[in-house]
Amino acid sequence: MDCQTFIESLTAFVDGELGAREREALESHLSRCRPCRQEQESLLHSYQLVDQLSSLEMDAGSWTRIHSEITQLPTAPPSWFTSLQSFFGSRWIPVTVGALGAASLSIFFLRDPTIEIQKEFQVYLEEREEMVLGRSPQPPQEVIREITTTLPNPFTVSYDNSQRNPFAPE
Amino acid sequence: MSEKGKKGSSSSLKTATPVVSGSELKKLVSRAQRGDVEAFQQLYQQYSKKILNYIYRLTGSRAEAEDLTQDTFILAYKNLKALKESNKFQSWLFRIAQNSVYQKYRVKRPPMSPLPEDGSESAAVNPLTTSSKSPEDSLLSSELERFIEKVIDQLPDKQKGVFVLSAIHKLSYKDISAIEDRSLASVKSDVHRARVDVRDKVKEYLRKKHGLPNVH
Repeated sequence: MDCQTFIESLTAFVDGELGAREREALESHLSRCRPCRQEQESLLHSYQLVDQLSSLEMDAGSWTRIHSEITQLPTAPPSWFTSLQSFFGSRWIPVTVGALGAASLSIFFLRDPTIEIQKEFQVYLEEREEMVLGRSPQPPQEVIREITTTLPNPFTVSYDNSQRNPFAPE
Repeated sequence: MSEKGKKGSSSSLKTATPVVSGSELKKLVSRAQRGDVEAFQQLYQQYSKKILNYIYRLTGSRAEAEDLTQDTFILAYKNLKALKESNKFQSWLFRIAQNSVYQKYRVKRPPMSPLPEDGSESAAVNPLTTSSKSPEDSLLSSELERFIEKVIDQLPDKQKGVFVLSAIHKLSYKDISAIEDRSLASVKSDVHRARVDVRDKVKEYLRKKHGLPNVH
């Protein structure tokens, strides 16, 4: 790295704004280059002078004006989320998580298992009707087997074995 | 929001307000966003001096700086809910301050307080030299101080903003680029130019004043 390149990065170096690789290269250059070290010292001296500049203090009454302005601002009604936060304070996160958990569990335990069976049975009936009316091709045997084995046959439930078949041979 | 603490040991003497930690700042901003005026007052106590001095160096008028600092905080309170990352509160505040200044002086820059050419005027002319300066800070003569203030004021506007934010308020180049809405490379380049310019003029001043051929 030549001296000109170094000098252009010197401010960033003093400000601690260089990456590790660039910083190492500059440190290495500084250790070998006396003019660049003088340049750095000169810059550091001006840094020290600027650091000693005085600063103004805020007027004591300034906050009073700000306070009166901001307290007169119309306040928007708080959203439900803000209300929730302010009601539960710092505990709003565990409270919300708990409420959601309770809701999920109640849905899981309280759901009606017969609803799904009824739906499947409805599908079964519709498919049967389609087949009977010849509106759809005959489904493969595997599907028929699946339907007949997985779904309850409503006709078997009402079949009474105890009754005698009048058409059976004596 | 990062603030460089490695340079300027003397500047830390001037900071009377205790610096809040990142988590404290986050809590304060969050409370203020929910309308907690007390939390906002703490933010004001933390940052008002910085904003005042930043605006003063941009405008050169103490009265204007006071007014614009108040405007900045009122505007900040009104728009606080729009701030998504509370750790960037300081940069956001500087940005509002800068916009307030540009908004007000889009057409005309305020008249600067007269600064002495050769340091012969009394220190009372410059409000900065009459402010709270402890005896420990008096290493810098008021005459030299006024000269440095004048050099800073005479920097081109583009360089002055980044110089004040970097050299006086110790903000990182990244934060400055966010406040100034400029690229990092451009900020780096202007900070360097301004630093070298100030250094060269101060060096020349000291050489002429004290006849020191070998002043840094």
